[in-house]
Amino acid sequence: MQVDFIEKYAALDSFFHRREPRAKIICCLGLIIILLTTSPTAYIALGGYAAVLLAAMIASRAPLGYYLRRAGVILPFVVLVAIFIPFRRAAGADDALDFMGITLSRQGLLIFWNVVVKAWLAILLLLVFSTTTSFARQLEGMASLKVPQILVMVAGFAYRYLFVLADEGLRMKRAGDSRGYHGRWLGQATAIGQIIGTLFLRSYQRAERIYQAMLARGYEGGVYPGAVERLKRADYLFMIASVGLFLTLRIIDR
Amino acid sequence: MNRSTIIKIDNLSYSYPDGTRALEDISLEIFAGERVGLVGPNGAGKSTLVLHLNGIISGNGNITVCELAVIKKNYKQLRQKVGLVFQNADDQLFCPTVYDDAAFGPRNLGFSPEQVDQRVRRSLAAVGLAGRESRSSYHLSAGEKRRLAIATVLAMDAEILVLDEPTSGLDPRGRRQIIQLLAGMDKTLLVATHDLDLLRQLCQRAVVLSNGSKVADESVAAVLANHDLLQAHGLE
Repeated sequence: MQVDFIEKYAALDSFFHRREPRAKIICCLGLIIILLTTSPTAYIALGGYAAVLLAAMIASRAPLGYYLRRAGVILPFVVLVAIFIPFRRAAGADDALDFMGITLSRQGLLIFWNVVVKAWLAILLLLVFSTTTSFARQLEGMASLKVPQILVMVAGFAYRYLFVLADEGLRMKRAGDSRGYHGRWLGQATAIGQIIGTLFLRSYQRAERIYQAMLARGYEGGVYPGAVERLKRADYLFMIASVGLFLTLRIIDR
Repeated sequence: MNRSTIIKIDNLSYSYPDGTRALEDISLEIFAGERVGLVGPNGAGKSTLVLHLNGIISGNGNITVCELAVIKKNYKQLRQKVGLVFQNADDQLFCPTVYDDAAFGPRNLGFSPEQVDQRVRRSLAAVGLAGRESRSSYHLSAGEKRRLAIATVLAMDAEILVLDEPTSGLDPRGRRQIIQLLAGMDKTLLVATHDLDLLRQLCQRAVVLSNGSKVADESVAAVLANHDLLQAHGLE
């Protein structure tokens, strides 16, 4: 099964790949806060953010089309949540807008734009982070930022066994297909339930075996600190420069 | 040759929580440096037996390993001395990277980061996986996964290696590599298997388990020559 898609470009080498994961996480948080507090009508600032992100995507050496495709995934969700806002009008507001016979609210449209553009820019930002950082490095970054070890471990397990589980599901589907299952009639829905149930049971048993394997190697529920890398000067400069750039854009256009 | 006992099992019985008898009055003595095959058909109780050796599961009976009784207070030491390699490498390799998996045991034993690093590199080199440290174990081949699983217990400096079906599901080359790797080790080996070829090439002594009971304990040559025995217990 082709499962490389999550870390497809993590092994490339670029300025962003070389940054310490902790620096990248802090940066992402800072930039997202600045982005979210920007006024939706600050078009120059928003355009500026987009331009900076575009430059970052190009500098990361991963193809632009990849970023845009991945970022596109978020849009249906955002649109679904926000789609009704333009049709609601605050009581007494006089901002009705007639669009092909449909009455829209100017204020509502602005909120809609606000939600969509910020969600999209934020997801592009996170994609630059996740594309240039292997999952193991992301976990290291979380651990060195003092995220509780148990959460880091759970995230690690989820990542490690996601593919194992996906493969198992795929094998079951193939086994079903080979015996003439094609899941088109309602009567065949039972089989889907059985597949899901079996997957659940198998995962449960696997979890038991993994825990035994952990015990066998001396696990006692304790946590051990991994080696924490020192932030290099380039990492500090990277944080200051990127946050500074966004902050400047944020301030000059409000 | 100095025959000091390293594993001693006295009258061990075990039932699953649902009442199924898995092991029935097993007694067994294994000497330091021996290579013993634990042979038996599927469901004979091989895996259940090996899980007893470091207290992962516990039944009725006495077990002593490296002069330590297998009781809760000795678990920590026992888990360092008994390196258990599970049948399904995917269960044993649960960390995001190859390096982390090899480092998991040593870190739990409380070694410093430098010592951990040294042990990881040594054990990965021993199984021919040096240079793969930052890979995800998901991307390794089945043979490489099996070798990495062995490295994870080598990194703990185990005295006894206990392997559950180390060659199942491997292609001939993968099998050969595992057998060569194990043959080159000067540790006590207990290998649960129904791969008679592996048994012939690696072990001197064979303990045959069937339906939870010990039915034979002889030299490998004697067991392999006893066709009636092999046939009766589904090994031929």
